[in-house]
Amino acid sequence: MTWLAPWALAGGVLGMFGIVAAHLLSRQRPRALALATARFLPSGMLEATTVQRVPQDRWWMLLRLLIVALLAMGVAQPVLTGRTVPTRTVLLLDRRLPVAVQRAAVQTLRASDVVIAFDTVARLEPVATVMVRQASRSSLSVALATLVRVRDSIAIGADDVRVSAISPFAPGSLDPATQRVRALLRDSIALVPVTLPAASADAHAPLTVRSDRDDPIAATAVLLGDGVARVGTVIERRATLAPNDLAAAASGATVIHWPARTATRAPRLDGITVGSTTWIAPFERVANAVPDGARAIGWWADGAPAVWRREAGSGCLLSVHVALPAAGDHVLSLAAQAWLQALVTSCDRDAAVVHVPPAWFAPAATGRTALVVQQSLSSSASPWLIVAALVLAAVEVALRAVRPT
Amino acid sequence: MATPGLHDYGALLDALRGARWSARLRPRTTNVGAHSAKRIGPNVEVTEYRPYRQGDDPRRLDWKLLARTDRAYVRLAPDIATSPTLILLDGSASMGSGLGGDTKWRQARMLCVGLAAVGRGAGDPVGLVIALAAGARRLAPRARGDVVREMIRVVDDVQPSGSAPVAPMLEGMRGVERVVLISDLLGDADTLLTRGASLIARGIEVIVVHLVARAELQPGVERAVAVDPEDAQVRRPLAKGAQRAYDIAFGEFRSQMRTRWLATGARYVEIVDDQPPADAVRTLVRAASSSGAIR
Repeated sequence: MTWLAPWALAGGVLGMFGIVAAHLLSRQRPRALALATARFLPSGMLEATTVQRVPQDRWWMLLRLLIVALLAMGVAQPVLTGRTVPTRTVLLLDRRLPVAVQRAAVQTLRASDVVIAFDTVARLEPVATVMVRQASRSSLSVALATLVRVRDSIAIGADDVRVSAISPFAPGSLDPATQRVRALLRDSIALVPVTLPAASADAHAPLTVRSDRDDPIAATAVLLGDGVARVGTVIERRATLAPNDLAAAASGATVIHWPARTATRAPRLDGITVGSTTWIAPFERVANAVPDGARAIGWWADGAPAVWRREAGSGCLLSVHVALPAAGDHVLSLAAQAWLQALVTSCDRDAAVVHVPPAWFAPAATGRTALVVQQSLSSSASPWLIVAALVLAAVEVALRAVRPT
Repeated sequence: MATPGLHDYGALLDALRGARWSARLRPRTTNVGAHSAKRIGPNVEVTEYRPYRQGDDPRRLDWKLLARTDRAYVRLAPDIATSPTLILLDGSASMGSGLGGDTKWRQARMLCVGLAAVGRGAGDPVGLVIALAAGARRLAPRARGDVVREMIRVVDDVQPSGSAPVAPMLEGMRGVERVVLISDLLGDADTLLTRGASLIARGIEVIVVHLVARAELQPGVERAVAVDPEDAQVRRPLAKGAQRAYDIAFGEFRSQMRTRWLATGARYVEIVDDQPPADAVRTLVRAASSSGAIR
């Protein structure tokens, strides 16, 4: 059993001490004695404050102590919670994180803790039954909404509930509703620091370039050697993507669609930047429609987008709108190799980036630990205890009217 | 203290054997007794002769002297008479149980019986009147041998209660030469004093026994409310600080009573309830033949 307002118990104890003291320091009339010569005594106060060794009117005192005790317990709101644990941690687990990171985060929890694992949906799961898997998208709003819904049930059986979150806080996981849902929670949220490896822990393999004929990019890929890209990374130099390329992208692979085109006009020296790597060569810009839901990750020197990225399931689909020069060894240069490596790992790098969470998500003022959430519980016994105290108080008043103390 | 039993009465009567209670005033009665009478009567012991005068009782003529000398003389001798005594006992509640128990009432009963026994020993008729709230209990003065036993029965049968005025009991007394008032004088003291003075003016000897309880002299109780048994409205705190004022007030009262009763010509004796009853009775008897107050 726990108390939602334990300060009331302290007040009750003080009140009970007061009652005992009042019964010890009672102002009472001394015993009456027959004295025939009483008329010769001087008049004076017939009542006197006396300090007794044992409380007077003990039955009255017990009744009043019972009233105060019931009232204090009623205000203190007892809650039967059965067996409790001191602290229960709720971990908001973002499934966008690599599997290894998710597994490591879950392993830090205790058996009494719970996990709200979320991607686009969220589920409350005990630690023992959490299944880790990686998702391409996640929504913190969903996770917070689930926490709002289940927080009272989580608090049952725990003296204290702490909320932690582990997430890369990617831009797609935050939406306009996130802040509003977060405001519904009075608890502070502790952020679990995530340290992701620069390179994914997934296996790496040689870069695959698919083309109908000899392709300079294939030569560049050969120059990059093994282990430059994750397994399944493909550069599609053909005009259109094959269905298996989309399926591969949906299953987590990085697919780069870069139709093989040769500059037809006199190329103009230009630069393409991906990440922090810039490749300067006589390129020709290819005008293509921007794919739906795509965002630019590579830019020309004048800021025009050159490389687009589109989410495809748990993988990544890149579109490169660049025509290579018809002659020259620009493609084989070290700058070209570095730029190509930056391109094929852009998806990995993007997944590994841990963004800074917004300040309202985990305000510094609230600290990193959660507040106790039991106050949201309600005590079913509390009203009965208060009613019992009031009834006894009425009885006490009635009895006092009939038989004064 | 327990109610006195026959053993206590017996011990008291034994202790008072031989005590004599002489009348301070000559009785006006004609019954032959142990006290010198006010009148000169036909006693056997001749003290003087005088010539016969018209109107004298012919039976008092000394016929032998008339036969020898032919002179008519009358024999004169001091008469002795009885002194009918009435014991008036205050039966109000203040005489009953109090701070020290019922010692005051017990002492009053012992005094009654003791005085009755001494009076009876002198051949005096002894009567008893107990002033009670429910009415007086009366025992007419008699000189029979069982008067003491009957008095024991009466006083043992009575419990003091209520607020009974004593003064009315002093009215209409006839044939009584001596009145012994046993009271704590806490009731109708002023009226009693007036009536007592009236009796004394009529030539009746009045002996006032002011009975005081030791617990009244020294209450010795702290943190209590003293309640007058005759008037529940009188409730006073009995605390240590009030002791001195109480002693002064009660002392003044007793002194005033003594002075006022003595001024009327009465005998005044103050008896404390823890005084041995036999000693108290002897003190009273001694007071009867002396002048002034005896403590």
